[in-house]
Amino acid sequence: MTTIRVVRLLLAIVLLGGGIFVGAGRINQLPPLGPFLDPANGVWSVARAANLPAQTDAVIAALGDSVHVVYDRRGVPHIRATTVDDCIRALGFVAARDRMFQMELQARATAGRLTEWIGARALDVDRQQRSIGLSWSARRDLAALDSSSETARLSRLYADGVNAWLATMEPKDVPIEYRFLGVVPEEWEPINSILTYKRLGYTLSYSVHDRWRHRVATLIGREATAALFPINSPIQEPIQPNGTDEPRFDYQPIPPPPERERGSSNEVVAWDHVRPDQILPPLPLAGLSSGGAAAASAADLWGGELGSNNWAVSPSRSATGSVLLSGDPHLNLSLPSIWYEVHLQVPGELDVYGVTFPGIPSVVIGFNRDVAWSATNTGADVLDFYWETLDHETAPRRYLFDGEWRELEHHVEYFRGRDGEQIAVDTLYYTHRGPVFFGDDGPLSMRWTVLEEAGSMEAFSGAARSTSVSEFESAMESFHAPAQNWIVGDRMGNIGIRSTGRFPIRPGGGEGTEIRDGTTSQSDWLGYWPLDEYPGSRNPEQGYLASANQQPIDPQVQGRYLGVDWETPWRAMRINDLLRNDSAVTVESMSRYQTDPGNEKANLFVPAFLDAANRRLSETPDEDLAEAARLLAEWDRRYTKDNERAVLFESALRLLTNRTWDELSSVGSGRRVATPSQTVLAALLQHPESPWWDQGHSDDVVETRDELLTTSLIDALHQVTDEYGPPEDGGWRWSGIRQTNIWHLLGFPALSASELPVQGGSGNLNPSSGPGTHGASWRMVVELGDRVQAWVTYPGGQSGNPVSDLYDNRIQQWVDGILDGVLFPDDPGDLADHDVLSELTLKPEGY
Amino acid sequence: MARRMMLQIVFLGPAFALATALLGWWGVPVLGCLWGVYEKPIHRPSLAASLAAGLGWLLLLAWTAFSGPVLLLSERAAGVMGVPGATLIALTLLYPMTLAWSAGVLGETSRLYLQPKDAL
Repeated sequence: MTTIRVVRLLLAIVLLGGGIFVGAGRINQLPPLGPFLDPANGVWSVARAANLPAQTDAVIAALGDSVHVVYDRRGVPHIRATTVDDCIRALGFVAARDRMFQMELQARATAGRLTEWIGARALDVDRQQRSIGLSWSARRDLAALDSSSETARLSRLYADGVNAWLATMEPKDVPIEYRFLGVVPEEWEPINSILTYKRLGYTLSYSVHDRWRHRVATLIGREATAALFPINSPIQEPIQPNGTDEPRFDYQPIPPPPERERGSSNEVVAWDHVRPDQILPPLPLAGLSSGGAAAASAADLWGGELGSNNWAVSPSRSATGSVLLSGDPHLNLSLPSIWYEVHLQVPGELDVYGVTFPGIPSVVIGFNRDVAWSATNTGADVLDFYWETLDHETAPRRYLFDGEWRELEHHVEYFRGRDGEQIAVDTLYYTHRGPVFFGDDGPLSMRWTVLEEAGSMEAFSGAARSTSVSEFESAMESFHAPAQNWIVGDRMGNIGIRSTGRFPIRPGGGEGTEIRDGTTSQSDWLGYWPLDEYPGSRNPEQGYLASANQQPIDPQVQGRYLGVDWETPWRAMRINDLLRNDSAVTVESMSRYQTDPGNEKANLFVPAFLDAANRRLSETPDEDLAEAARLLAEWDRRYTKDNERAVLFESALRLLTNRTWDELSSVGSGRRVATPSQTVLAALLQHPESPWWDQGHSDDVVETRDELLTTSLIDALHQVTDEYGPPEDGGWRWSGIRQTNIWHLLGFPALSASELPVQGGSGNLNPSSGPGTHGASWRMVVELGDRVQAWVTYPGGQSGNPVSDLYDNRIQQWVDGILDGVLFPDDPGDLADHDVLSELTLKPEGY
Repeated sequence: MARRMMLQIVFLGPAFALATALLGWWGVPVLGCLWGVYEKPIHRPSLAASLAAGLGWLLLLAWTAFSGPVLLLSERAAGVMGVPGATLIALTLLYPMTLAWSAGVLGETSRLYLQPKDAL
């Protein structure tokens, strides 16, 4: 053999070996290149599944009869079946067809099984998820459920459909995310629906305020903590109308901060930033691309406002004489979208249209031929912590309860890697209340309604069949968690709202603001609120109802403790103001209100800044202050995309907040432990000489309210000018500053929609704040006239396939605040040809 | 010589496409090696296999492009990997070419030991 041949052979061996190595195995985070690049069955084949075929058949073995599915031009499946069972099976099939990866990701994330996909990088996330007990409680709930219960039955039927899709799925149908991860879809278990539902509970009601209040109290004392984080909102505009036609400013005196000996306090961990407010935790998967880390980092900032709106007007206040209802739930935004739009029809039994979470066998928000409904999060306190006394620090077996040692329930949790190898083992402990945590301050157990609730699916089934407000509310009696403010309207002209869920009755004063002593049964919940005490209203005299996560009931009307640290009432004040001043509401105005640029926070704080500036300027000339005040005064206080002053106000308010609450900063890290509500800051404005205005670092100067307001305004001018240029140069335009970022579930920038200019800001009905990852996840306006009509949209599209026309096709209209008219045919087969995108016939085996 | 190779590529290309569709990406080195064993070294079978493998995968890509947005996919998938869209297409063509060529060379070498000298 010649030398050249030898070299050639060696080169070939190296290349072949290398090619097979990268082809068959993972390198770092890259998937095996062979199956990935394979143009027949690999990533490229995803393009062949981008759009739905005009007509196709599939088999679901368990079906009783064939099911006809018509996808309309917006990609919405209209499912017509002869039985409800078949309809739910078909729902599982079509949801999996469009959103399989999202469904499995959500269930896995909740079960704490992401390490099986991405290895040890997900270990912390998985550990956190398992430790809070969602998976434990889902397993326990499923085992306890009667097999004939609605939740068990629906979950099984749905799994039939999902697994039928998995069985018929061709290689091209495997979602692109599985290919990047180098994994394949797993069979869908009924428990996954329960896990998905619990994930929702986690997103909407997991609050560790007891723990951070405890830490705040170590800094400023209990009295000041109670004043800065009051049980009742200082501004009352409750969900249940309280008979007034304007908000009540119920400012309470705020006692001075206690003297704090510098350096004497322990390092305090900030808890407010760990409040979960998105469907999925930031997943440590985004390192596949260089931009991914930034995406993950952005998703990790918990600064976004979590909030939702809903409202309804009676026929007396609607231009058409029909009930109008608006649904506007806000969540963490993602691609694919959190919601999946469907129409389920079983002649004579069910005819419901709306949105479901992929993985859940029910329409959650929507309407039928008679009734429409939507929800906002109640934000009630449904979670408590208890100090526990255990028999061992690290490997306990018992806990002290009423003077006796009780056995702890314990479970060994195994964390597996990609190849099934064991990468970690944890032992988790549970008292009769729930999971035990081992913190720096000692062991704590947690009781949380979400861990005691199997899914509320019965409630959704009943809601879908209801024909009136009262039937809807009866159906919702079995809805337990996460507590929601359900608004409902019917074609007979009724409107209603009720904060629904299990609200604990606590011993003693009934408050859930402190960590209780776990060694005694005297600390345990005594039961739940009776239904007739739930905050709510039906057909109020004012002719409309609205909720925006504010304190549901005026404490002067009902004094029982329901929660603490309520969402600021700015959105509630705004929508109530709009509805009070509109006696002939139309569908168009309902839609317009969803992105209304008005802002009650600005209406309250801008005059405070300007008044302080004027007082100061009347005493001492100050060019910078005069200029800042002039610029701020030019603003109409509307967060329109082209306004150029909101940035100055937001910056000034941020500085004012930081400076005012400097006492709440941890001595060690300097990081603020928690931030009082802006309503408390508003209350403090009434006390110009309050010592809270004084900044601790300047011992020789005592600052006052006006001092802080004016210096914050001046410094905001400097900061904004430094960052965005002079005010006249266009750099202050809101559309260039406040943007929404809709990240792909894995944080891939290439599959995300970012830097979307939106009309709105912090405190708007269309809120946008922090990293811009939160917002209106579904917008719906329903007119309950002779025939029900609806207009909807959400930021995304029906398909989970990133190259489908239906992946992100609705984003621009969502940005523009435009809604689509819904097709709600009596029979999906009646849809005109131009309205039909695709048809699917699902058949039983051997049909 | 060039014409013979051209013909080889034209016939082998679809064969590589078929092998990939049936066997997955492993079909490429398998067919490349077999071609190296089968064809006389003087006809440069490894080069022919390499070019044909590229053609085969190009044909599959073209077929996919008829029924789906391949360019958009290349942009988005490559974006996830942090490379330009064209890079992913180039990689998709170079990868089978490398596999087929190297397997072909191994096939050619094997032929040295499998065939009598006068058959070379």
